[in-house]
Amino acid sequence: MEALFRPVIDIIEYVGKLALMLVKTLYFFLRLAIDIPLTIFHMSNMGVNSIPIAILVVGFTGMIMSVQIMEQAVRFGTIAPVGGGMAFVMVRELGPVLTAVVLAGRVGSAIASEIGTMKVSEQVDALRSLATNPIQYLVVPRMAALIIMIPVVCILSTLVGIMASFWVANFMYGVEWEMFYSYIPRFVSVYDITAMMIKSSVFAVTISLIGCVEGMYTEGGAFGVGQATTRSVVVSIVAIFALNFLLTFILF
Amino acid sequence: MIVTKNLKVKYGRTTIIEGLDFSVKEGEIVSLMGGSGCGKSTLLRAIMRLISITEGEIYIEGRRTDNISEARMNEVRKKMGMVFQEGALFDSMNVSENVAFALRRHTRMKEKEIQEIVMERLEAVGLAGSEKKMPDELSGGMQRRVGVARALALSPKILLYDEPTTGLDPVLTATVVELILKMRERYGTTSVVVTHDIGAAARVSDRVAMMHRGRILEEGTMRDLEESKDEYIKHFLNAMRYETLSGRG
Repeated sequence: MEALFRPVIDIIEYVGKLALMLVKTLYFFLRLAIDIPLTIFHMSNMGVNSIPIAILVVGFTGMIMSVQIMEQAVRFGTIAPVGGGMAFVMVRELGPVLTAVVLAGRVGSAIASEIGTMKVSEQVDALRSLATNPIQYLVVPRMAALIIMIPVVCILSTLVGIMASFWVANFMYGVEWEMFYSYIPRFVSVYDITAMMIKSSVFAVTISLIGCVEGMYTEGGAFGVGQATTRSVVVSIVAIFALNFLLTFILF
Repeated sequence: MIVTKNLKVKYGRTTIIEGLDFSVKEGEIVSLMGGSGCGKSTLLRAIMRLISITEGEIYIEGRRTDNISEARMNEVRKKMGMVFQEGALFDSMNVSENVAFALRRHTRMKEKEIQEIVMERLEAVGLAGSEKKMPDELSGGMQRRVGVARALALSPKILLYDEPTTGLDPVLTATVVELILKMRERYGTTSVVVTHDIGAAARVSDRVAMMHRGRILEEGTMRDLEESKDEYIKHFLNAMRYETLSGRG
């Protein structure tokens, strides 16, 4: 009977770990007990260094989308609104989701493996023995850095995605910038951009929280670190898509 | 200085420490000996509150610490230091940054003062000149000595050593033993040393406590234990002597 309910119990236990870690982290955020130099280091290491890959992924996606949509638009003779449509899809969905997925792979895995290695080599215990709270030292600066940097990376990659889709529309179908741009303000509002930032921030908390929980609960040496790293990426990506579905309903 | 009363620690259904009463006086060096899994390292971790205890009470300098908040425990931890079996040095920091870690986090000292203390601690453990080395450039013995220097940074009153000589050759073992004695002489620290090494325990300790199945079987000087009538203690000491003579210790 226990084996039957084991997966459900495991999920409840996992959500409990996430909730507990979130509450403990929020405690330090509310007290403004944030290590600024360490946060700046992680902003550079995890955020700035992720810009090229995020730009590439969202940029190529914009180009592919443009090829597919332009082909259909030409068939139906409605090229003019394509720019607006592309920007609409990029801002509302593709920009924040693809950026978050890229960062879950690049940054979430790094968080889980770094903290996991520290856990199995007793460095987390050493932190506590030196009167340092591991959540304040390891989790808070990483989460703060991602909350600041993921929206920034998202804006940049979304802009590049829109520009890349214009470049394809111009190169293959001769669409001029004035025509491409003219429909963007009709399709994309300031609220859409705000919603994109909200989505990115929620994804930032999700990626950092899952990476940190996986790291902090790592057991079993190098094998355990590998397992935690893989799990952090898989769980983060699933959580990003599930939360995106939920946020799309709430925000739009 | 350190007192535990009726201490119990369980991991799941397994009892690791069973109703342990243990105390260490100020300035004393006490060694904890016993077979693997008898609860020696668990006792150290419970004293430092790196693990939760199931029952009982722990007092550090007369203050109960098992039921206080983590923030208050951190104030107590500033008066304590722990040396881990494998050093547990922060591998992203060099030797100097490892030793300076607690000073940078818990004091308002200027960088010049911090560097002076780092140099003094590294000199005390015989590692002056290694400040810029990364942990993976150091031997096992050197890592443990950096661990001691790091634990000493805030001038703690209590030092807990978790198997400081395990896996070291006789020369490095002698170096670590000398270091533990030197720390008391120089800083007046009270120490608890978990070890399997009879020679090291005899050399370093004022008192040795022999543990078995989560309890202290007997305590006294090493000579007292060697004259013990307890079958387990006789068997353990003979086995450790055999291991040392056959070069496995």
